[in-house]
Amino acid sequence: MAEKILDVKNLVVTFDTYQGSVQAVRDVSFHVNKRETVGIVGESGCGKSVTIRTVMGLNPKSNGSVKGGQAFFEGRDVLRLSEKEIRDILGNRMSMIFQDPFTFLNPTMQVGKQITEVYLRHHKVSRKEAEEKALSILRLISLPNPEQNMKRYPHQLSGGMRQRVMIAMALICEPAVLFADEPTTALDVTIQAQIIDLMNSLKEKTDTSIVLITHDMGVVAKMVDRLYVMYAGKIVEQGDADAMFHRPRHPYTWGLLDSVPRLDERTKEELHSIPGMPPDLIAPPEGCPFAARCRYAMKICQRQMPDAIPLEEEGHAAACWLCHPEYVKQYGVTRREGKENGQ
Amino acid sequence: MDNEHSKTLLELKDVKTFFKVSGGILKAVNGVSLTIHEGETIGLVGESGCGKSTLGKTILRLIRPAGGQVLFDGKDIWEFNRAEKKAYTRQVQMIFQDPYACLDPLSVIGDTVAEGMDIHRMYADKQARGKEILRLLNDVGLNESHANRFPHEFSGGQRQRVGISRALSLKPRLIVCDEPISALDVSIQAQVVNLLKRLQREMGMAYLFITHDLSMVRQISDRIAVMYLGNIVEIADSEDIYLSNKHPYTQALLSAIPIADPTVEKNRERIVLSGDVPSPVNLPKGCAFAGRCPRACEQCRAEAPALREIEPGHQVACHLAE
Repeated sequence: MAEKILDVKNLVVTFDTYQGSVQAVRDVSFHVNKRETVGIVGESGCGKSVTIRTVMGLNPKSNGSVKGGQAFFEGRDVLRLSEKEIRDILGNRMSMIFQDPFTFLNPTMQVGKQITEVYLRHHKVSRKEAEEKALSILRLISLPNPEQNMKRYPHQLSGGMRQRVMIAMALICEPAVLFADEPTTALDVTIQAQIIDLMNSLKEKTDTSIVLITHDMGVVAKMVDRLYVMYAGKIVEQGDADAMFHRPRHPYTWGLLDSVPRLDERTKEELHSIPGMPPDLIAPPEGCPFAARCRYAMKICQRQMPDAIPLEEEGHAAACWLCHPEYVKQYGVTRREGKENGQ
Repeated sequence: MDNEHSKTLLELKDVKTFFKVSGGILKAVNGVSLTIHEGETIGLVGESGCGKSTLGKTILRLIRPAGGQVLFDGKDIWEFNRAEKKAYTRQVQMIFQDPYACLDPLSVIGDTVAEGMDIHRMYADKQARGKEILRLLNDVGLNESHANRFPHEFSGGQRQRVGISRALSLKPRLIVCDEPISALDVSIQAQVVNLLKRLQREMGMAYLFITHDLSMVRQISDRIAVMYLGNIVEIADSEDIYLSNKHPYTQALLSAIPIADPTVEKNRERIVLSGDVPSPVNLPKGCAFAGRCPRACEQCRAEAPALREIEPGHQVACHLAE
């Protein structure tokens, strides 16, 4: 059994707004094993970013509040740490890369200085040693001409290079977990391919586990070992990448996979789309949040959402009545349409 | 597509659009020739900074090209008289990338949709105006109750529908769609693409579909043009771009896009380009792609390849393509 680095249990997060409180994360549990890449996918507003920001203690205390749950990281519940304790962890044991490197970097500071700043905060070393460390990290992530580029300002670098600088800042303290929130969405496809290759190679070179948050199923397929699918603040399906892509069981996962046209296929007829929109999380529906958009919805779906139901493969589970043993016994296993043979 | 798109609607002849910047002259569009036929969809793909949006704006007569001609129905759009200019702004419309930024936050949706019709006086009276607004909203899947709401009351997908109905209101013959789906969620993207396809079947306008998303553009385009640093490097029927592409940049671009299937991904051969797109200021001599091209030779660095036809309807700008 692999060692769990991060174990989040029953996380509930709400935000108070003038319209009412938004139930952004509703009872989410997930874990990350050592040296593993885990993906969390879902559409905007499904709560995936809020989940990890909460785990990192980055949500503003004024209007966001953790209503319940625990998040164990290296033996401690990070949700209950003081501000000071969290600061010693962030950038050091846990770090994060963001979607847009340009807004993340300080425009008035040389990038080399920004990278060493992180290291100096967490280690008692001289500036010179920190600079050497920064250089070695920049070489590890193959930034061209690291010596010259460290002296540059963010606006003098290209998008791909800025993304590398941000990854260097995140990695310099050799964190146990790296959270990547849409790390390639703002990049061009050829640069995206470079960054994906880089992040995949990090798995071999370091001990860092990666939590990847994205809506791009293609990027997920290239990177992750395990996958969680989130919808309306809940995890609806989870499992190994292979099971999730080839034998998905939740209708929302089917919809997500079907609505991405594949480069290697052409559909002459209409693209598959999920009708309707995600529900409003100020007043989420009582039953399954996907029921209103789901063509398989039954009466019970309107009333109640099941807990994750474990499936044949280890670690694969879906929160859907179609997977309930009673239903399966009576009607058989429901598979993704057009992919009946499990492929 | 059923009918042959034989009639030429818009023709670009060696169009060059330059901008003065502090470091010199930025050659955003550097000699593009392209023909758009009635009722067809051309996908224009490329990475950011390749000039695809500038080309779209040049077609819309928003930027005056430094060289070359844009011909609409055989007439240069910069030699139009006043009436022709007005007619042109009606016949060529645009759908923008960011549905949040392109709607007036202080106008209700009905007025936003009708603004073009107001300018062109396209209805008889107030009643007819209201009726037309309703018809347009229905066409894109919105209804009566939406007409009196403000943009902030809509989701991204709904706003993009408003943008589409505004473009349709003038019964255009060409719509330039500049990244119309990239700001939307995946499940909503498919809805909007299906809507655009359906509207084209019903009304027969042509689309210039500008995007960087090569998997989506395959589903909608009849022909696809691939741009790199201000030039079209390959143009062909959309299936040929995917199945028998010839330009190394097209090949690299296609291989860079991850496919949503881990098994396929593991067994796929990939070309990962090194480096970044060079700056369009002070372009290198020779082929603009030579610096990143895995197959570049002496000739590529010395001499820029011209677009040439290697099969009927399939043009490539590469010395090495056969």
